Amino acid sequence: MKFNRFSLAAALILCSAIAVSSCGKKHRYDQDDAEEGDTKGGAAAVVDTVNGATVTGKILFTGTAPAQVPIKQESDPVCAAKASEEKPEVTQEVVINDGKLANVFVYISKGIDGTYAPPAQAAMLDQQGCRYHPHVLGVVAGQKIQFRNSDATLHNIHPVPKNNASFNLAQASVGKVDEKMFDKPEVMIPISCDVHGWMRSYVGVLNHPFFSVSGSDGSFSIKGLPPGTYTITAWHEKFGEQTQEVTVKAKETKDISIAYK
Amino acid sequence: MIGWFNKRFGTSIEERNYGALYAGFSLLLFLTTLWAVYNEVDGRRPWKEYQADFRELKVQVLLNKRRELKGKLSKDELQKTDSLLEIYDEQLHGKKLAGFQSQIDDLAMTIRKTSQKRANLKSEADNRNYMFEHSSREQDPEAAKKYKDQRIDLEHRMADLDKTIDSMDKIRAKLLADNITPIASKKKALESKRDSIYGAVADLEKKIDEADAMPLQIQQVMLNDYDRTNFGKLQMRADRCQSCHMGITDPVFADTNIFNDIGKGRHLFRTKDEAAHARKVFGPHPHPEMLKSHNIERFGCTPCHGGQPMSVDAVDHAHGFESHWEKPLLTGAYVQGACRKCHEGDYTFAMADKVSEGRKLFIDFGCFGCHEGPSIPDWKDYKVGPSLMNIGRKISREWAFKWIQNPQSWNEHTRMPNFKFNDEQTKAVVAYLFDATKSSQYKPVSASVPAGDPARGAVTLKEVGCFACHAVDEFEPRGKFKFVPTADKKLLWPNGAQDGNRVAEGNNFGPDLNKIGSKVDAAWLFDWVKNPKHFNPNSRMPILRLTDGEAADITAYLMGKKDPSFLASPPALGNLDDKKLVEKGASIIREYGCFGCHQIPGMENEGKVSVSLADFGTKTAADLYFGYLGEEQLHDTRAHFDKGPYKLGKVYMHLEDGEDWFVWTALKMKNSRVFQTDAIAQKMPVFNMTDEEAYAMTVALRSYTKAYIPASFKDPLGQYQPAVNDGHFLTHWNNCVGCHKIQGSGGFVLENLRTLMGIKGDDINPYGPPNLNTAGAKIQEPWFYNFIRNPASTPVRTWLKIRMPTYGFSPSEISRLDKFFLGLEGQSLQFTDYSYYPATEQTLAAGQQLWEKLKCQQCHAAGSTPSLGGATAVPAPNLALAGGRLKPEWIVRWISDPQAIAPGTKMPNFFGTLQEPAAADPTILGGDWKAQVSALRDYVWRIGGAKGTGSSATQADSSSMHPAAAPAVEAKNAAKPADSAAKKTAMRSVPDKKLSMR
Repeated sequence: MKFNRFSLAAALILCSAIAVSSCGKKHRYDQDDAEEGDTKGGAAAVVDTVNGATVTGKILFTGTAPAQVPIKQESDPVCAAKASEEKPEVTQEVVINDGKLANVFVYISKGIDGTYAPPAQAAMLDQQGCRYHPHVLGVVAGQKIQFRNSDATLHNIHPVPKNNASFNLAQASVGKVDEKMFDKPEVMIPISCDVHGWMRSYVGVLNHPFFSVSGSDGSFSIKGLPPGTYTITAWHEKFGEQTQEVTVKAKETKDISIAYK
Repeated sequence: MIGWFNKRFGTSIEERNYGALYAGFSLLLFLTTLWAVYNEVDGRRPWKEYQADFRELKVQVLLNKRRELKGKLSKDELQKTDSLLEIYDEQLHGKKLAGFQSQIDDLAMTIRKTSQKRANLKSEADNRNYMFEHSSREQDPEAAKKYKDQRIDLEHRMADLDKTIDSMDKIRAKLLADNITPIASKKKALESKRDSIYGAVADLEKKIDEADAMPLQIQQVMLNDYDRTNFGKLQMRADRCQSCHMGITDPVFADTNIFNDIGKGRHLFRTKDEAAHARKVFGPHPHPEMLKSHNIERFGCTPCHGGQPMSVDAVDHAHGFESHWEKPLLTGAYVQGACRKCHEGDYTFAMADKVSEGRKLFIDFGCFGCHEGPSIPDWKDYKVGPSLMNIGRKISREWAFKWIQNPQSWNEHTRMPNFKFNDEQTKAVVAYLFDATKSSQYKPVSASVPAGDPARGAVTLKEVGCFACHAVDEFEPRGKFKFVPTADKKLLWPNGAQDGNRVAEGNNFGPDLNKIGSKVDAAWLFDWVKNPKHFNPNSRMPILRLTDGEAADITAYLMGKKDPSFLASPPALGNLDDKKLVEKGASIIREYGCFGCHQIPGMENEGKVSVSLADFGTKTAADLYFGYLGEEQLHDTRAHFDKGPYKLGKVYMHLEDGEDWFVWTALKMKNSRVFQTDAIAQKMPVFNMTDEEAYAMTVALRSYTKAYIPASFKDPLGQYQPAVNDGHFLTHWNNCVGCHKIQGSGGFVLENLRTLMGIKGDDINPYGPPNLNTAGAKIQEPWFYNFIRNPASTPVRTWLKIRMPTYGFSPSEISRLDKFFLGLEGQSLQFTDYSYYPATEQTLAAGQQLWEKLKCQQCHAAGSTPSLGGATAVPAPNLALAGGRLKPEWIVRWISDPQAIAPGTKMPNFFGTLQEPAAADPTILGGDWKAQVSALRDYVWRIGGAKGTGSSATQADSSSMHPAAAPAVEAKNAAKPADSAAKKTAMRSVPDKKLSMR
């Protein structure tokens, strides 16, 4: 009897011990705020504009420039009227000034670690004079793109992406702005207007902001690069891709040149 | 021991000592109690540990979220916000504004004082008025005049005061608006922003507290109307899966990125394995979209996944890997087999590719020719192989002999199996077939084929779309693969391939044409391409309406495609007319059931030669015969599959003797004669399947059960389900999906068209066969009937080079097809009058305005007026056809969001999307997008002819509205000469059909 009583008591003690131990579990997040200072591994990286390196350069074109492709805009008098002011009426496919190639998308294709949050400011793709401005656009995945119709005619924005969701949106009025975005990296997404067959634009979507589009003088500049070795890729809609390796130190500015033939 | 007993029983009872005995038993009891407590609290409840882990993980995830949220509003920013608020506060009460504020306050005071003054004057004026009235009554005109003058004077003074008050008020308002309000409203906005962030944080904190306080308890879904006992009584099922799998529907776990947070320091998981395990147990359902249509609360878990619903005492038990439990968890793709339980007739599951593939293969390999299987229409009407009724008029005996003996030696991808006949058997079969078709009346239309140009034929062949069904030239069959001799000597099949399948879709549908010149002769081929129904009325090959010239070109081209090696050493057949041989052939054909797949003269009344597979999925290893195969060979088979992507299903006990359903079935598919013994012959021919095919077949066969499923769980399309099931079969059987996308799948020819035309991506869409999504809601029934009967009668896409063929369907088959498309849209086949559809003149005018504004005519022709874009525009159907072809409700649906119906179509969204609709033009019909869409429909629908105007305006001359509409358009664009010029052009070219709008 004595032993039985003892064992019952022991059981009771055991039970209550278990109960106490489970009740007494400490809220693990109570001290959470104490360590507020340290950053988490998955947080988005920030472009360092002060210490970052810069890669600049020019896109050269050394071969013979192909003949410009003329476009016929008679089917839309609005375009025809605008275009006659803005000569010559050719596609924006190949723009070469003084042996410098414009509209080349230059970006870091290899070497970037970490993720970069898309900039809060939306990029703009304007439809003006039945052309896209700019002809080549770079954005960070998830960055908003505003499509604006500055013409008094109907345009439709029809991207044909491979990885991203496609859409086909018509804008019937002047000044209409629609905001869209591509959330996955993709180089390049062609955008066209089915109403005006000659209208074409390309959007390069990356998961970092290290890209540039060569201007009419062929120059480009990628800023704020963390020190390291990178592969730079240049993309042109007609002449294809070229790559180059580049190593930069902090605050360094490196000048490279890329030549197409 | 014995000595102890002897000693004990030697002493008298009174002297015996029980202490030690008591102590021993008490100790036992104590230990038992301890064990009982432990077992009750912990041992039998492994799920509690999972729940505790889940709770901890969830709290951590939420804490991370809170940190992230706070991080977004960094300390700096918080401080900035606070200091900005302070600044605003200071400004509002600061010196600079204090002057304005006191000025405003002063003004307010003055206004108040002046108002008081005015009130005094008013009461004085009232007093004078009373005195005036009183004096008038007293007949005292002098006094009356005096009081009246005084009153008027007071009223003037009041008016002056009013003016002063008004001007002071204006000054005060201006002071406020200019100096105070901007800052005050900025402050308010900032405050609300800060509050919303604090609110979100507070919200998260509440969630954290809730998660932390989550009690550990069994989570279960009760299914009250799913199971029945053997006596047909309803039986409750309780799925307790979520007692461990707690994150299945938890929104906190919906983002699987949390399982990538691996590393030392502040990370959720230390190692990859830990994260993978957590994802397996706590992760969300891999197909969240599936749960949207199959709500867990309604469908539970085990009806699809299998397992032991109530068991929670061990992982293996819960998953049903326990002896005698008949429905263990379906692993890998086998869970797809569950779809068939409820969706019996469907075999195009977007999220269940393998069961779809297996079920199609069941048809395409002709399994149903010998076996009873689920959901196949009357097999006698549907034979996968070609009809042999006129075989003697098509090929030579030698060719037939070589083919029957080894079909793969001619075409590696053929679905015709190898019966492993010896020379004598093969000869007998050929003898019967040619003897039975001796009296065939078939003769090609012309014995001499007109001369054709093979080069032109090669072009025509592709342009009209032969490669939608046939592999030819560079257009290799879909999922092309190569069989290779089995390198692993342990395996029980002679050769095989891992990936690739021969589902009869796209250009896998018809035979490869690359050797056709060595099989048939030109006269037969010319007749066949002109009209396949002439040789074989039941042929699935449709009529492409080729001209004699086109047919001759194609014949010339195809006859050049030869492979003489097949008959390089022709078999010596000898005399095939021997009666005995013919009889022997007949008995072989009866025994092996050739008529299951082919129409064979004299065999019309035979039945299926093999067993029913309708309940094959419920068989166990005990029901299956493994022949001479031993443990090692069976294990090798399983190991072969398990090391590739096609892992066989998991079963309890399978490790012991290797005999299980999955191994048996996979082996049977790979090498159907493998279980043959000296005593038991096997007749099933060898199909030489790839691993992928064999796997897909096991998935489909596993799903072949006669399980009772309550109707309330089945047939999501209700009364339309049978028609839809039937249509799924028909559209597969006739390879409609080879060209057209139906319900989002199919349209395989587009890939080849892209290659042929050098067009990339979605740009091919206007040049390929149209997407048939929503076709039932779209096409008027009479038009559907006439179009399928003769697609050339009313061409819609006149620019297409690829041709919609004439199938020669019977009216009942066309009805079945239309019922399918209608059923998918929840509609049934019925008489509808589409000739009259009223609209008001107002909407027609607005519709016309939109028609011009949205440049519909840039791409669409309207009657005899071509599109404005001309050759450079994207081709689009002539909208004069709309009224006689399209259903009015559908046009609205289409215009509202074309991309939702046909993703990638060139038709842009003019009215936003269905999720975010928007008016195309804010000035038309008050910017009401719905009204605009329906007005545009009303206009478009009348381009081809009258449809009636509104009931009140039926008699009105509708042409009168155009002059009214035109100035409105022009006036609006008067400021832009170029623009209005465009409008005028567009206006002028709107067709004369306007007049027929009456």
